[in-house]
Amino acid sequence: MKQLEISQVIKPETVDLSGRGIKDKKSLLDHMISMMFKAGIVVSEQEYLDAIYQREAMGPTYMGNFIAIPHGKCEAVKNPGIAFCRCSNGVFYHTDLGGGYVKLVFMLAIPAHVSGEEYMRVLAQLARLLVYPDFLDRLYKAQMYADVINAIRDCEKNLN
Amino acid sequence: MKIVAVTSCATGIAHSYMAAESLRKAGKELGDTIKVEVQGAMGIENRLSEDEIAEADFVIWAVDVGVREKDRFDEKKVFQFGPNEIICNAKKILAGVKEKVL
Repeated sequence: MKQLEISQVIKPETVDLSGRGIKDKKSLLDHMISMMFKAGIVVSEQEYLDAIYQREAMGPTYMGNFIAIPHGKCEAVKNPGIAFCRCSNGVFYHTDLGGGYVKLVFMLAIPAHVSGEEYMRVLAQLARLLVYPDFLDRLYKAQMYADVINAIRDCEKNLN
Repeated sequence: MKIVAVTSCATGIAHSYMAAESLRKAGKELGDTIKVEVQGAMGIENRLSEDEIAEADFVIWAVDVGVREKDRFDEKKVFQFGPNEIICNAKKILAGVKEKVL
């Protein structure tokens, strides 16, 4: 059985390595949601935004280490998908418990009803990779989409 | 030491898996044997057997929602943390618990 490819879940149009124009958490989330919408991952920006903020209210998606993983689970998510935005200068990501500056942000779109387990596995896999400094290092050095995908493919082998 | 753990979070994807990975990585670095059950969006993964639980020196729960089938752990020393804490500080936390237990 052919395994789902990471490049099917993180598409070129949902990867922004420039972070241009992003000055705060709101503009960061809006921008990433817009990328998700344009890529057809979510069918309603507002509904997905609501889901994102709902999850924010439940507990921190700021992970320390300049990483944030905002995520939303709702009917507006057509297929599980991942957007990635790198803000090299750092953006302040506030949460009810403080927050901090983030440079690597992964936004996960999770369907309300988990049907495609393969897709979910890819999301879980990515989450696990974020625990490893080598992986983060490669994300900082990435120049283009292919570098991000290759970083994932290579570092996956070292997962525990 | 022999350690077992359960991770679980609100959406059942990101934090559950990150916490599990953090625990496995920390356990490896500290030279312990650790098995982590993930109670996530895809159900219960890597389910802990009765024997594995019985043989464990202690149990870690990295959860911010309830633990499914938690009566399996009734006779054990359970140390509970939030998934975020574990993700940020697994090695230190694990080392601290080990010290308490010894």
